Amino acid sequence: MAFLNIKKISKFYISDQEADGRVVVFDNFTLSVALGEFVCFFGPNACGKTTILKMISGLIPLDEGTVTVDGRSPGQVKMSYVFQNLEGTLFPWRTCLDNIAFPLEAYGLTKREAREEVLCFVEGIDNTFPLHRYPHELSGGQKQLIAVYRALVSNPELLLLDEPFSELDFDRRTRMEQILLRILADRPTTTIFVSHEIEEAVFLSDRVIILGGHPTTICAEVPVNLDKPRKLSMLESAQFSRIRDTVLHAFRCGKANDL
Amino acid sequence: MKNRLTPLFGFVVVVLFWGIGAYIVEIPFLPSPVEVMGSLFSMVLTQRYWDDIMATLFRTGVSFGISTFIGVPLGLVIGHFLIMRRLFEALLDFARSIPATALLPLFLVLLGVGDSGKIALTCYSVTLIIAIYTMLGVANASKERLLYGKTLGASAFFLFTRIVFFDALPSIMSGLRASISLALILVIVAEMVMMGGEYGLGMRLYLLRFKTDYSGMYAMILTCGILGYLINWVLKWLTSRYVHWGQ
Repeated sequence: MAFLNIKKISKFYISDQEADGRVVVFDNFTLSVALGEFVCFFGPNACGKTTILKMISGLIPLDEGTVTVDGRSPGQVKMSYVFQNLEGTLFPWRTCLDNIAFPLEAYGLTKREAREEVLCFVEGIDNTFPLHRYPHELSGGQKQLIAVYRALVSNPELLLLDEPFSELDFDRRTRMEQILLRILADRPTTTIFVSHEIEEAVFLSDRVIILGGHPTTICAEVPVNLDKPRKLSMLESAQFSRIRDTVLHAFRCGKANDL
Repeated sequence: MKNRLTPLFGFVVVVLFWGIGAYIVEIPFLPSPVEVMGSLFSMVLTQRYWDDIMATLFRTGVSFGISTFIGVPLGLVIGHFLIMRRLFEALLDFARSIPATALLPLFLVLLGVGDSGKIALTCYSVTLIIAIYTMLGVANASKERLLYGKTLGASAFFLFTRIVFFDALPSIMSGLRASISLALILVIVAEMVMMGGEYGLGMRLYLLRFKTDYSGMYAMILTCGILGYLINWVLKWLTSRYVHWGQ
């Protein structure tokens, strides 16, 4: 029994440019994700990756079909959504501590309880983090960490990440990825990660789903059976290259169909 | 050139030119800086001087308080609901465009020469300014932070009080700063025209002119300037202390 069930969803937008007055973005799109699985959506820009995350989270309504998480509708599920521009979603008027505490407050904890929980959580990961400073006093990497901590502190049932590290250079990005994987290893969370970096997609996930076409369809699914925990050295292994090539091949096929 | 005294340079230049000018032209309504300082010192020692200041400050403070109390919630509501903005933004813009001084005769007829007329006139303009700044702050609040809040499934009230309000706060503070200076100006003008009551800087300024006590008049103008400067400074300090993330 799958944990996340996306069943035959469709999404249209009204458009004057099209003959029938609408653009079909998704048409009968179906996918299921198992409990605790880490899935990566990989595909070209504007292939509907963000749209599907927004539909899963309930931010934009579906025109047809259903999304259920553990049998419930998305509104009833504790979900963490990390946007692409994650610095833009931090609260400059709150200290890092209170930024991370925000989702807990939204779930009804008092300020004090929320803070205590954050302290517990962050101490288990990095006890040197400058929690009492404001975001603008921090480096770019630390700001990204606030967003990641904030997404995980509430023990979400479903974690949605939309190209969170796309603006980082290779070194910073791999470091953030390892931190993310380390936290997730301690608290297995069903995760959907959107990426347009092929190596990132393979390195992080249990399964890479290649999206493409208009309307968006699944071009291919590539299971990633690399050992866990993932280590940076794996990027150079033959097995990694083989999986990456498979993904790349599927991606090219998807594009070929598109044209 | 980086010294705590450097900002005083401009003052010294103006006073110097003023002194030279007064020495050369010698007309009654241009007293020398020394005379004006003399008047100011003798005034400072009188109870009347402080009563005038307190009366003006009281009217300014009350007007500012009432205006904040009405203007901020009004701006929050109009800014938050698009339908409200469509319905009332034009009216707000027009109402603000009527110079408050043009309404002075009306308020004089309606409320008389006492405190209520002066305060009502000031509140009219200041409330609108505060409401407009607040409205713009809310309307320009970060969509991304709000969207993030929505993903948590929080109530509209929670999102508004924890996200939108804080996003609007820098703009609200700018509105408060702009309007406290305006409040002082309007109270002084109102005191000149609505000469009810015993005290007030505007009234005093007018009386000194009637009595042709020109150096006293200049001393009073200086007092008004100092007052305005201090009030603005307090708000600036409050802003930098509590709304540190803005600007």
